[in-house]
Amino acid sequence: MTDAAPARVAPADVHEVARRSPSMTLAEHERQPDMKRMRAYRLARVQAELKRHDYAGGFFCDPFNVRYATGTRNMAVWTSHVPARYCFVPAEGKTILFEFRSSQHLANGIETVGECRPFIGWYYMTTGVRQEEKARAFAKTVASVVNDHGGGNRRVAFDRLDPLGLDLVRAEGIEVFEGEEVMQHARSVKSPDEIAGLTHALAVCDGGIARMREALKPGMTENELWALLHETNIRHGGECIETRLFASGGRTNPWFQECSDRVIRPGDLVAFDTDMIGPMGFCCDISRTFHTGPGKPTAEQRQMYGLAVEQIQHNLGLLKAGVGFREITEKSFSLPEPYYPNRYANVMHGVGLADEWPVIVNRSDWDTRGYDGILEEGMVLSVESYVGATGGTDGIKLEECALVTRDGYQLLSTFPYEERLVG
Amino acid sequence: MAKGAVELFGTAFDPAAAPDTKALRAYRRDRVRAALATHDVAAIVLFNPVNIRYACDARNMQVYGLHNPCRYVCMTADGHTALFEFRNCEHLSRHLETVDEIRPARAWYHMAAGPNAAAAAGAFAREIAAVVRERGGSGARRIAFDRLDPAGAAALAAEGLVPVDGLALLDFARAIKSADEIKAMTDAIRACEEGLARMRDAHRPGIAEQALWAVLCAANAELGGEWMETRLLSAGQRTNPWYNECGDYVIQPGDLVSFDTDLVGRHGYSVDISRSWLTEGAHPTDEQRKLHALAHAQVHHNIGILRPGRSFSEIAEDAYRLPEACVPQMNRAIAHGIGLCNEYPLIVNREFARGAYDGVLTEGMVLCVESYVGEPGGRCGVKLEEQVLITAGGAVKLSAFPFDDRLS
Repeated sequence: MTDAAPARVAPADVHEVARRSPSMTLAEHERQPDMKRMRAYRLARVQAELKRHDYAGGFFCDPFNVRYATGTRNMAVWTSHVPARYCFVPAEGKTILFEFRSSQHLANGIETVGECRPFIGWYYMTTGVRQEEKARAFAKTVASVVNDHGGGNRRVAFDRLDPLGLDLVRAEGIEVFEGEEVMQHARSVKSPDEIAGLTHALAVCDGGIARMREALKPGMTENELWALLHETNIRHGGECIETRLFASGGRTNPWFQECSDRVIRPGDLVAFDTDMIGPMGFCCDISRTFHTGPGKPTAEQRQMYGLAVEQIQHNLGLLKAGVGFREITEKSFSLPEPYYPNRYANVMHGVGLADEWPVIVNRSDWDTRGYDGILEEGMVLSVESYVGATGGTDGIKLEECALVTRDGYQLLSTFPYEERLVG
Repeated sequence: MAKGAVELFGTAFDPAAAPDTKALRAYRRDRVRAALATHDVAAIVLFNPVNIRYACDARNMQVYGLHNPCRYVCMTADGHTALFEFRNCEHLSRHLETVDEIRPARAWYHMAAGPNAAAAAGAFAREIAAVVRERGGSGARRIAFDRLDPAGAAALAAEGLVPVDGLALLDFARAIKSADEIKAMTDAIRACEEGLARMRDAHRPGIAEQALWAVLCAANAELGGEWMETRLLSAGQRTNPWYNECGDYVIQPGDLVSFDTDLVGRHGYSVDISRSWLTEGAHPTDEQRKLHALAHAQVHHNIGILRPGRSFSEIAEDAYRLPEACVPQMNRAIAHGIGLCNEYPLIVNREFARGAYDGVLTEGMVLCVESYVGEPGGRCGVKLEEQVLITAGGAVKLSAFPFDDRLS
């Protein structure tokens, strides 16, 4: 593809890039992420995976995958559930973007896109009774693109393909393979440009968290406070928030209760998980727990907080290029009994344009859900903790974002812990 | 009929009244169950969180779930509803009378299952087959899906099940709304309009597009809404062509600002209305006023021709005719259905008839009636859109936010 795409984060650069959070507006006098080089790097990563599997190419419709492979974006939340645009990535050469009919202009000037064509949708809302006809047209397009770009290879990866399309594509003589595997592995190792972009997005996220911390006072609703993170994200060019994991008081236990119009009281813990798709599409996935004054936290709140910090620090310490997922599971921090049943669903997971491969599970979940693999330099992981006793009155959620390096890790999230709850 | 009341299926009600949430859930569940019978399928399995919510009202990490098939619901033909929920989240849906049982979801997308995807898909298929046969007998075969990737399709085939497309039956089910749904949707619209009022207050020269859009996003979150499906706000030259996404362009005096709310609001109901506003500091240009007048005329003419029993092709025939110069960039849709998100039907302008499908407008549908007016190469474009309910007497507007009178 291009020699401008470094395969790894250079060790000497890691600390500088990871701590810098560049400005994103025009500034010719400062080093900034090089978007063109980032797109080239990402496309090369996808194409290396395609070649590794001997695929002629891949059709991708998940907007996170389309963004990764091409650098284009269009109605990203809507197209998360409505397959209204696709891209084709050949094993070599430029991509073909099958764009929403009226949005052809959005990819102008994006050099990874060789060609932009209108997408013929075959989801029910646009096809009505003509669904099979449209799906057939889609299958014919797939076959003709693969014929033109596959060099005789008819092995093709798809990240999403419903049964009607699957049958029709196979009838065209195309062999269908798993596209998510291709994309998740391609996306897992980040370039310095990506780390620079991610730290910028994390700075925006920290700014939003700081606004929530500053605004927090008894009498506000959860929704009012949570809206500040939304506002900050969108104002700075971010995308959306994936969940509404913001809870206060008794609603912090068990975890996974969603933000509501509950009024926050003095003495409440307020816990949240940002799950924010921020500027440039970078996912900022960090969790914090605040204590609502007036008054001091209880001894139990402080003890739980201490445990959560300990769990995070212990598990961060396991990160290093070359370490296996299974080894991390085996060595991961074990929460004591009243807290173990309510433990978070995993020890850590990859993060990039969204939550990504790999997911590294807790010890007791290894047999049902665990899978092995190896940490590589340049992976970014979210390290999780939830501490709340079964039937307890509240709980603590913390989560940090870290870059895997040759010698260990570099923390990317920087928002301070809650002083009143520490120690 | 009292002032503000609307009549649906022979009964008048006040759309501003609070919905009966239990009745709302029961109505939606029964719509899905009836569709299963009509289409002769033994069960439907739904992954899209919007569809899960329609079928049983369970909600959890919705935006994440739009692109990660991490939870699903299986409703069998007898109406039994098994929710397969994300780990440790059972507490979110225990109170729902539309959920008969909650089990842990078997995730087989690559991030969650890694190299074990085939085995996880097998476990998923065996459990679905067991549920379906327990409720529907050993002859149960045809199972409807809203999405199903190849690994899952293969695993189901191994269990002797036949996947069929579930969106056709589900979209028809969703298209007809109950009075409670209209009440919930009206509440969502009023909250969105509160957001629009805040946006109008913040709208002035010097604010960036995305800072203005952030006002609506924050209002939606603060007032208990869900998420924004798109980021369709643009200003000045960026309003033409349409579909530019909001960015850091700084809005100038006299710019048109055009936007399309496309949000999923309170109760999970969508509010999809569009407006174009003049930015203070300059008089409107003749071009701006002309385009706004055309868009206003197009939307209101088209609202006037919507009546139950009319076919989509008849509506297309009678639809407003924009001047030739505005046709190349006109909206493809005259109107589209709306509920928990954009849905069936899509009624397409005659200029795009080749790709269109026919159908019949029915009482109880809610439609968004669209217009985009801007000439190719023009300096601006106007986007207007209204949300209307189809009653026996014709279309009734549910959206009430005023148009910019400086442009009329």
